Parts: sequence; C-alpha cells; structure tokens
Amino acid sequence: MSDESFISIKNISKHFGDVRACDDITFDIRRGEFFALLGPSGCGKTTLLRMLAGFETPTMGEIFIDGQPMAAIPPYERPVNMVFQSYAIFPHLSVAQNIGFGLRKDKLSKAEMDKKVDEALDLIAMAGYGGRGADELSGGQRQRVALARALIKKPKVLLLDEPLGALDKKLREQMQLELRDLQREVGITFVFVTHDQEEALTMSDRIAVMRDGKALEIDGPVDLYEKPKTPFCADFLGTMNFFEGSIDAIGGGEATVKTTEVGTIKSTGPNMNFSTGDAVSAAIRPENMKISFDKPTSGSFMEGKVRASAFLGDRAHVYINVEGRKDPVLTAMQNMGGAASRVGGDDHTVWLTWSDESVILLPQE
Amino acid sequence: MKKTKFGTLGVYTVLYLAFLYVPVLFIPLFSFNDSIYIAFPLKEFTLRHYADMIEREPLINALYNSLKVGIVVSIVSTVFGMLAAKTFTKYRIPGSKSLTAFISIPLVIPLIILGISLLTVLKSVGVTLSLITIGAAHTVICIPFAMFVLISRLEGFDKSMEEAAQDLGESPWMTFWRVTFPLAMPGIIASLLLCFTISFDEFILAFFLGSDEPTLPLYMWSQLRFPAKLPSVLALGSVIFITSFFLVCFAEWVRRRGVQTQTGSAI
Amino acid sequence: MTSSGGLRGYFVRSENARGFSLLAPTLILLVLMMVIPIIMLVARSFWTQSGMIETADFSLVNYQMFFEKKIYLYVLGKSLLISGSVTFATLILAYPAAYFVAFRVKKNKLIWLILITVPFWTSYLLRVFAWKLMLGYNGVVNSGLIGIGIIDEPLGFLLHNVNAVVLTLAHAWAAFAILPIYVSLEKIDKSLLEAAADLGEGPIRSFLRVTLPLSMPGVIAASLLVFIPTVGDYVTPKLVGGSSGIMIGNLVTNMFGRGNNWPMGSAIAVMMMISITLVVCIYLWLISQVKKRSN
Repeated sequence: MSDESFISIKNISKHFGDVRACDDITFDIRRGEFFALLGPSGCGKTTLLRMLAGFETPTMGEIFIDGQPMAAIPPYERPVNMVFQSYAIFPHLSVAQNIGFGLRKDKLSKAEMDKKVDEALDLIAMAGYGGRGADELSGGQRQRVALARALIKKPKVLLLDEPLGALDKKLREQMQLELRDLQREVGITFVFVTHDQEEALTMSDRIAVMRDGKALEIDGPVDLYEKPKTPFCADFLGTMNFFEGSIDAIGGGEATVKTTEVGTIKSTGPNMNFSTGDAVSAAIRPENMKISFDKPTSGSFMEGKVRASAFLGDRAHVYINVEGRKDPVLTAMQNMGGAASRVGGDDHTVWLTWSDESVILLPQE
Repeated sequence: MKKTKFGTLGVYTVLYLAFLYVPVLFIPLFSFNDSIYIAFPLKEFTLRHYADMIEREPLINALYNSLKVGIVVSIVSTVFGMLAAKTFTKYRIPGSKSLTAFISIPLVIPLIILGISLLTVLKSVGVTLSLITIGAAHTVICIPFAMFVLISRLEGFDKSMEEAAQDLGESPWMTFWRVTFPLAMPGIIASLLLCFTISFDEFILAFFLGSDEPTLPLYMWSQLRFPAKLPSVLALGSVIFITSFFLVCFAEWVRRRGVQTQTGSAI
Repeated sequence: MTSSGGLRGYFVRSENARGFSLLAPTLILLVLMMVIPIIMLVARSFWTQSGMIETADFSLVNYQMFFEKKIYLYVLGKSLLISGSVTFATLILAYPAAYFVAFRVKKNKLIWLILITVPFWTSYLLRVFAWKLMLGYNGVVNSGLIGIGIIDEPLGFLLHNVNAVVLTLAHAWAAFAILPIYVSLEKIDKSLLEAAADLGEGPIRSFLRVTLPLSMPGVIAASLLVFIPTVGDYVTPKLVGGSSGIMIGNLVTNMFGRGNNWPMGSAIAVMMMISITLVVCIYLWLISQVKKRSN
C-alpha cells in the first residue's frame, strides 16, 4: 500500500459469455491522481470502471484499493463513489435530498446534515438550489449535483463514467477546467472514463489507452502524444501520418527507414529499440510537417501537390499528394496572418519539411 | 376528408362496440326497472333494488369477504410479482426466458384444471376450505399479471438509479426502499388494482375452493337461480361495474403519470 | 475483514446466486400451488372410486371408461369445436376493430381502447348472465320483438344451444383478442406500409403481404388466450347452453360435485389438458408451415 499503487489492478479479466470485455489488465493508479481510461466504445473501459465500483465482478484477477482487496466487498461498502454517465439523479428527491442521500448512515443531526449539504452546494456553485426538484435542472446542473452527491461521502476514489458526454461542446470545455480545479481542491483520486481524446489530454495526469479489453499504454498526456509506442495509440490520440517500411540502418540514436512509398526517412526520435530489417512505420504528426513553397536546400523533405485544404478557422488542414503514395499526407498549419490562404489551389507544387527528431518509429500492426 | 377516413372500418368498429355494450348495458337498465321480470316493456324508474341490496345481510357479508380476499391477494401477489420482476430486470440469470414462461403458465391454464388440482391437494393434506384457500389460488393467477405490470415499470427507469444508491452506501435492501420502491410506485399501484380486480371478479377457483363463506361471485351464482332476487343482483353488478371502471381508470392514470414524470426527468 | 471467501463473498460475486435467491420464493410458491397439484391430479386420475371409497392403486379403469363411453369423447370433441369456433369468431370480429384503432384512429387512441374494454369490467358471471337475459324465452330480445310487433310468439331457439354458447363466449372473451392484436398492429413500423404502397402494392395485397404476417404474433397470442381457457369453461354452458350446449367442464364439475367420483373427474381433466396441448401444437405447427411456404 503505497502512494504509487493506491489502486492496484492485477490481471483483471471480465468475460460476458464469449466476449472478453477486459482481458488480463494490470496497472496501478497513484494516490491523488487524475487518471483517464481512454478508448473507443467497446474497449472495456466502462467495464473496468464498473469493476472498480463493484457493479461487475471480475472473471479473473484482483483489485486492491488502498491496500485492501475488493473481491468480497459489495459496492455499498467500497471506499469509492461514482458519477454516472446518465448522472442518475433521483427523480423523486430534491437537489438537497439527492446530495444528502449518502449521509443517512452517518447518523447526523438535521443541522449537521443541512450544513454538509450547504457546503456541497457551495462547492459546486449551486447555493440556494437545494429545494429544487430533480426535473428542474439543466444538464450542467445535474452533472454538478451528481458530483456533489458523490464527493460529500469523502471517498478515497471518485469514479466518473463519461462525465461530460451528455453536455454540449461549450459547456463541456468549461466543465473540463472546473473538474480539474475541483480535483486539485479536494485532493481525491479521480478515475474517469472517456472516448474523447482531447478531453483525456486536457484533464488527466495520466491516461490508460485501451483497446479490445487490453490496456495498451499508460503514460502522461504529453509523453503519450509525443512518444507513443503503438500505432493505435499514435492514431487515437491526435492524427498521424504513417510511412510504412523497414529499418535500413539503426544505431547511435539514429535510424533510417526504407519506406515502401516515399523513399527513405531518417529518425532521431523516440523508440530506437529496433534492429535492421524490422518492419516499422515512420510516423510524423501533421503539425510537425511544414509546407514550403520553394525547394528546401537542406534537411529532410518530400515533394508533393496540394490536393485539398480544409479551413478550420484558427488552423487549416492541407492534404498533399505525394508521388508513389496512395493516401495524401496531412499537414496542419496555424492560420496566422492568413497563412492558410497562401497555400494556393489544387495541384500547386509544394515541399514538405520536418525535423528528424519528430519522426517516431513504431512497430507495424 | 375525415368522414372518408372513418369509412367502413369505422362503421364496423362502432357496430362491434354496440355488440360488446348492449348486453352489458341491460344490467344497469333493468336494475332501475320497477319489476322483478327482466323483460320489455320497461316499467317505472326505481331505486328499490338498490335499497334491497344494501339491506341483504348475506350480500354484504359476501362483499366483505371479497374485499378481504381481494386486498390480501393484491398485496401478496404484488410482493411475489415484484420479486420476480426485480430478478428478471436486474440479473442476467440463465434460462430467464423459460422461467418467465413458467411463471406465466397461470395466464393460459384453464382455471378449472387449477381449481380441481388445488382441491385435490388441499383435501389430501387435510386443509379445510376457506377464504384463505380461495385467496391462495387467486394469488397463483395474479402473480404473472403483477410481474408483467412491474417488469414494464422497472424497465422504464434508469438502472443506474439503483446502482447510484448502492454506490452511495445503501445496502440492496435499503436501496429498494429508498429508490426502487418510490420509483416503481405507479407500477405497484397498477399491480395492486389489477390483482384486486381479478380476485374480486374470480368465480371458477372460488367455486371449487370456497366454503360456506361465499365471495361475491359465489353469492351471485347462488342467487341467479331465484328470479325474485335477480334485480338486486343486477343492482350489485352495476355498482361493481362503476367501481371497477373508476378503479381501472385511476390505475391507468397513475401509470401514465408515472411514465410522464419519468420521460420528463430523462431530458 | 479481509477474508474474501465465505458465503457472503460468494453472494457478492455470484450474480446467479443473488438472482435465483430473489426469484426462489415465487418459484417455490408456483411449484407448491401449481406444479405439485397438477401432478397430484394426474396421479389421482389413475385411482379408482367405488361408492364412497377411493382406492389409491394404479389403474387405467377411468381411462378405459373414458374411451368406452362415447359421451366423454363426444363432449370433449364438441368442447374443442365450440372453443375453436369461439376463437375463430372472436378473432374475425376483433381484428378489424383492432386494425381500425391501430391505423385509422390518429388522436385519442386511449379513449378508444378504454371504450372497447369497458364492458369487460363487469363481472364475468354477469356478462354471461346478460346473454341469458337477452336470449331467454321471456328475455329482452323476445319481449322487445313482441313489443314492436315483429313476432307474436317468443322464439324458442335463441337460448339453450351451442350457438348461444359460442355467441356468449365470443362476447365474453373479446378483450383477450382485441388487446394482443392491437398491440402487435401498433408495433408495426408504418413506413413499411408506405414502402409497400410505394412499391406498387394495392391495399389488399399490402395487407396480406405486410400487415397480416407482421401482426401474426398478436393473432397467435390472442387465439391461445381465448382458446385454452374457454375449453374448460363451465359457467357459460351451464347458464346458456342447455343440455345440447354441455361442455367438458360441466362433466368435470359434476364428477367433483354431485357425481362424487374425483378419480374419474381427474381423468377427464387430464384428457382435456392433453387434447388442448395437442390442438395447440398442431395449430402452431400449421402456422409455421404456412410461414415456411410463404417464404
């Protein structure tokens, strides 16, 4: 029982009939951390969260929270609380009754109870809303009530199942920051499930990227984004240009990849643990590929023709056809001073440049 | 345009309704007729059959018996129906389809079979027939009705409500009382009323399993043989008809209101 | 605290254990109050009775009697026929009305449904008895017809026959046919019908090819809900059937009542259950054959 492994998930599997929702998952979550389970739908992230809460029982494996094994502990005795995707606000109770729901067992006096509920209402900036009915709340307010209702129990861990999924984009962005601040304020370990990579990157200290019931990679957002170790992760977090090929030469923190479509690409980036002949992808983020209108004289570059561009306001995506390559290469550029408008029309010849540091070597799938 | 929409089918439906109503409406009609013969032409309007009905002690006793049986049956069946409904909506148990089918058998079994089977068993273990045996038999046929009404209600609300209550520290038992029960209330009321109505009107099982303490249908059956007593039976029938009409309307109203608040809060 | 085993741990982990323990009371009750009694009934049908004495030895005497005395088979066959006709009549009468409410009524469907089901909130006994009042020798129909001068003498053929039984049952069980049919019609995606019309199907062909097959679950449910219980009915034949309208339920009732031969009554009831099961199986098999052929 250390702060490093506050929650310990050991070889957890969950089978529903023939479906393996979770398949031999092992990792630890630190005390006080804002931890995200990220993955596409059906990857097993919600099942894992529900096993932490005690609503599903693992087919195999064990979960420890603060050193305590959870196997024989029913949901109502676990030191965790959950914010449900639907928020599950009790429709027959008022806001105050909802928030105070979990306090019954504490045998508080009416005054103490009211005080705690008022504090919780303050915490979520909803003072004075206690008497409202559950059906009089907006989506954002429901979310806050669900949060307050769980936090008032002072759990060791707060579980959040797609907590912002039901909100519209603007409100979601605002709540991302608020949730982050709230977590810092209360200092409780948050584990939240999301399929939205941007949300995971914005809010979490660490992210577990999940696919097909497995936890593929666990790391901080920056490292996950800049040094992914799997093609899935590289593609799921942001977008990525993959150039497939094999290692031509490797050593001394430098590698050359002979690609099947666009000649050789040099890398001085992360993941150098390959040997000559290994099938790899040289992966470059769109924002690391710059468009040049003149042929560069040095460094790495490739020639291409503008196929199409998508204007996104603050930035633009430009799709560039490179000879020998089936899919266009995607580049992203900041639209500063109207840069996007200078890209020119279709079939305009341009050069793509990048730094060798930004080339990430990944195993092929 | 509206008339053509109504069309032949509409006319047919109205005629069919007439077929359903006419015989039934003669019951209240003749209950107000100042004659002991059920025949045209009608005589004067009278309420004496109603007065006659109230004064008849065996009838009041039978009514009282039926109320007792009906109330107990509706509560007991709703409890059993709730247990089954809870199981099928909450757990993925193997064979749940065949188990649901098993519990629904009383819906399709001829009541005479159930009646004589129960009579056979009760006699051989030496149980004396009474209102209790009638009630036990009614419970068997009411359970599937209660179960289906409650399943549709329990399926109607968000399952995470119950999980949320457990998550907040309530045991399954307290979760039931603090969350499931209040949320299922419209279904529970509908189930109680439905089971009460079924038990109150049931004749065949009561016929085999009853004793010298008759329920209302048994009493009516015994009176049908005496023409002189018919009009007061008709008066009784009319009263039951109006009462159950309002009961069923009330049950439906409660159920729909429940559905509405549910969808209202889901937004 | 950390002992994860034990009965409690098992309960927390096993969904099946929790599910079945919740269901157990209902299952036990039904086994005690339905399964065991029916088994006992079957057992008793192999007993014999002579005079006041019942002998609990295995014997086929009751069944021998059942097949030897033509009356039993005859009444059983007639009961199945009566219930079959009742089912058929009820379905034919109810289907158009259910169709009307499901497809033609746009507003206030609930009002129509309530209107249709209101007559069924009178007591079953009185619903049946109402027909006796209607059809009797000095009943409503006869006295009414005489009153307006169409006939001089009461018509005697209205009551106390098979037709009166069929008519009364078709009236008494109408709700059990309308509601399932209505529910299955209501479930049909209206765009399917529009698609059929769009593909150039006439109204009758699109009814036969789309609506009717899709409403079959409701029709099947309705026919079982009407057929099975009416076979055993003895109230209706007793009140409006007379001696020619007697049904198998009356024979059973007599054996358990005045006849005081419970083993024989049990045997008749068992034969009734077997024949109902057979008819239902044949019916379902025929429907599956028709379905196969139309595919």
